[in-house]
Amino acid sequence: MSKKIDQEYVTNSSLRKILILAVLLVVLALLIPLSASIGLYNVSFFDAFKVLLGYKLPGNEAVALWLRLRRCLVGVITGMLLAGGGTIMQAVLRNPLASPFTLGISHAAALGVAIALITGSAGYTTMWFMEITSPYVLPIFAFVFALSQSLLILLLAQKEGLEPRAIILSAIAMAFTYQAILALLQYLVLNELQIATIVFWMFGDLSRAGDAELQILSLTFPALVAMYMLLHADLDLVSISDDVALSSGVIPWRVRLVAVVVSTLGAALATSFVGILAFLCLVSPHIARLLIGASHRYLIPTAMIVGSILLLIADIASRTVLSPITLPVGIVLSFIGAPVLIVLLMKGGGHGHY
Amino acid sequence: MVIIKVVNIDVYYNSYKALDRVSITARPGEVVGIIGPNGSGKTTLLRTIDGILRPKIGSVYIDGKKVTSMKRREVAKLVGYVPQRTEFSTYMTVLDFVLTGRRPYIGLSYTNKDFKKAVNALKMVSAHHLIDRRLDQLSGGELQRVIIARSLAAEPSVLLLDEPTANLDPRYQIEVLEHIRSLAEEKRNTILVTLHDLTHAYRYSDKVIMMKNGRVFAMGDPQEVITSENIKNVFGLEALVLKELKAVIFR
Amino acid sequence: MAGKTKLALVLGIVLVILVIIISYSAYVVVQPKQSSNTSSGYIEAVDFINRTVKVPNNVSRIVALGPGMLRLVTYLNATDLLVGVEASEQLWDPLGRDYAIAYAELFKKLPVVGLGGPRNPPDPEKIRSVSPDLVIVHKLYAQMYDPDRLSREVGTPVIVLDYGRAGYLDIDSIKKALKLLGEVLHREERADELCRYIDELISDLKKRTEGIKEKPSIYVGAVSYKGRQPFTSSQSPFSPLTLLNTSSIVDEVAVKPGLISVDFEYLLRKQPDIIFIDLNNLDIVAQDFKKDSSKYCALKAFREGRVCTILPFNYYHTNIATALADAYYIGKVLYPSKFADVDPVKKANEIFKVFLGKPLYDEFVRGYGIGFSNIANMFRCS
Repeated sequence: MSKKIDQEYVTNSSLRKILILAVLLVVLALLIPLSASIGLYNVSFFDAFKVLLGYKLPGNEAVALWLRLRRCLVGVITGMLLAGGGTIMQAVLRNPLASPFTLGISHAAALGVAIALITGSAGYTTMWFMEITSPYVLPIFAFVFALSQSLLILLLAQKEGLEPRAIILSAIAMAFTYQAILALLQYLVLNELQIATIVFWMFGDLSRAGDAELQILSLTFPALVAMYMLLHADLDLVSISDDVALSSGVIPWRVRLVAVVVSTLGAALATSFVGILAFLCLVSPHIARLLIGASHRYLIPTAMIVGSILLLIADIASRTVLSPITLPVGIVLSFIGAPVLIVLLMKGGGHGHY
Repeated sequence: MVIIKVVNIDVYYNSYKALDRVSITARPGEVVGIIGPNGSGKTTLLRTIDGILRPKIGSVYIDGKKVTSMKRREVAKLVGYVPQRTEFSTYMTVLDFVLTGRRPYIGLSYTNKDFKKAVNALKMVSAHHLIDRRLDQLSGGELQRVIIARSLAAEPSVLLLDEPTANLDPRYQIEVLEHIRSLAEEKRNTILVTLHDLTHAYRYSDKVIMMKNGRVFAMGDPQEVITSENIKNVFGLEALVLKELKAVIFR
Repeated sequence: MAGKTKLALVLGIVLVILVIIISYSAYVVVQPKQSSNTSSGYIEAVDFINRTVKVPNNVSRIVALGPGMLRLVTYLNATDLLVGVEASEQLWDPLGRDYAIAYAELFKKLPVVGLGGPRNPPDPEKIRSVSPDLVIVHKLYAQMYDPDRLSREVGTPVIVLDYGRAGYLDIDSIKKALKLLGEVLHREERADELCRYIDELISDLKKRTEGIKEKPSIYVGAVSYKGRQPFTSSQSPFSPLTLLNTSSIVDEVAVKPGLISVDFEYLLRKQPDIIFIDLNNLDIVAQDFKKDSSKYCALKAFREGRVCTILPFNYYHTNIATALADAYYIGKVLYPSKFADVDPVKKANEIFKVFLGKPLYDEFVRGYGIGFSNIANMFRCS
């Protein structure tokens, strides 16, 4: 008798979560074809089937479909990487406000881009373009700077024992410093072309990723997602408390280091190909937590799917609201993300802690 | 059946000496109550036994093995530690929370066996009806029992509990202590528990350790350790010890 | 119940993976192959980032994207080839962009092929919708969006141009860009004509200002840079002054070419003989003067009535024609004897006419309320 009740309890809780995950997956599966069907040309996702069955599309339609599919896939992957990275950051720092943007990681990356431009230029403004023809120099610089900032934050949290709010405040202070350095560089060293490159780089836009970028993303992202998922049990423990983690056989600083490197890798990869997408990493984990609870074995996949869904919705909005003008998706995302975050924080009892 | 031996340890926080030449022994089926004023080193002692802190001098032995040279995972299988105040994301459900206690045993993820053990652990503290609730929906007593269940999920032989009765109303205090007693009696667990309430220590411990300034002031049977004289020396309070009622009354 | 829910999850996962696989494979199948439609003749041109571009011989549909590119097309009299413009050409006020004033009506009628502006990369789907056979992009856009990739996605050759730093007259780059574009658009004669005219003006200005010993000290204030700027913002070096063999008082303190913000006290110490103000920001200066006139009146030029306005020429890259017109006006103010035969207004209209086919000076006056003039009467110091 009692055994039966236990079974019921176990399944009830996880059934609901599994159901939510399934619903989110279906939503994502519907959004991809929808997103691929919106645009100037009258070509829809169903034409993709036709193409696969051997039909030939007229040239313009084929290219339009091609571009849209690429955009969609890039959106799905970067949405997952960013949202998953945000979730891990929040767990590791035990801080619901943690995200690349609030931790100054994005600003550090922008500074990295500036420094790449400067060192590439070596002081000769006419020469710099030739030196940065390789499209991966900027992303690598961005990643190195982002990672250093992540590790710095980690050091502050681990060694100095700063509490979550102090971490965010010191990260904001650092972000301002980076912005000041950037402004100083703009004023003293950089030319307009370089400044415009940095500004452009900071604005998120899905169409920026090309074939090579999509290839890199689709090759690395299964590995990254697997690594995200493998961390789930450790993240649960670390998000409870260090002593609890230690007493359960998990060494917190080791988990933190691995988690921060993995999540920064994912977030920096996405960011260097599509630019800074503020709010996505911050909001997706919150929405996921509200939907499915705090256990990371559900939270990480949910947050990743929510991230993809949000990014696809924002992308569709950015292409349709002012059509035929396309807005950078980062702007739309901020419009969606900021109010969502405020509402979530109000629901969370005002202290930002669920 | 695991014996804990603490041999002559000194523990420092930076330059501050928190434990000074402490030696104790705890046997299976024994509830060892640790009492003493704030800052006397009770929590430090528990954390050192679990290997979270490293003694500068001396060693902690669990079943004859030095805790600091064991793998964390092995220690975690043997010792369950329930810290004083546990922070957690309140959206976690009771089941998910208790499952985290299975960490020492899992590979890639939890299996059915882990779920079963988690449910068992909840049953042991009569909390299995809470399984689907969220942690923030629990009362203080329920929460404390769930936290204990988390440490039981790994089926440890040793249980270290830091102030399990703090912030509970009297009814829940008794409830939690009864559960602890029964774990020692039925499962033959070795249990070390820090307590503030001297009457509780008197009634529920097989052995009492009284600490002062990082040293063991007295150790032994409750009626030998909890005396008016010791209480005056350690807590600086005049107290009346009623042996028949196993109670301590402060004047 | 449990079985069904798990099935739902599995179905969801399968569905998403299926959709992704279909998308990916369709994306791979649909991918356009490197177009090699070299059936008819083509010209090989080396663009500004050293790419060799094969431009078809009979270019008849073009779009020009990014700062200054449309300007080059209009200068070359090739607006008949345009099949689309950036949204910015329709949204922004044409005032301040010489080519836009001249062709505002035409631009309004053309379809939009992208957002435009300094930070939005080209949008291949939009560009494709007007099926151009040549896409001209600015170097900045090439940095944001690989031009070879754009070429593949649009299915037409993409040529990358530039004509120097925005806000400057880089005569060599200008001539090179005009000649290259003239070649691919078959406007070689027009390009030569413009280059010859530019050379004429440059050498005329040089001849007039050679060997002058006594040069007045000059400050050019409120120079537009990425939008509006206050009185203390200047630019160094200032191209029209450079053409006149004259320097401004900020040249000696500038650390790099471009915007320079100076301390007002520096102006007080230097006491420039003549001050020029960018018409685009005249109202900012006027407002500031109202707030704090004593500051301005401590400047000799304001007290003695030697404050003049010039036309702004830095808006979506350098307005070459406007900058040259400014040079003549500034020359006339600084060295009246050397420019005795020049009427700046007539000269400006002549320059606009050569570059754009229309006299535009009156349009500027209509837009800003005034044109080239001494505006000392706006700033009364007694």
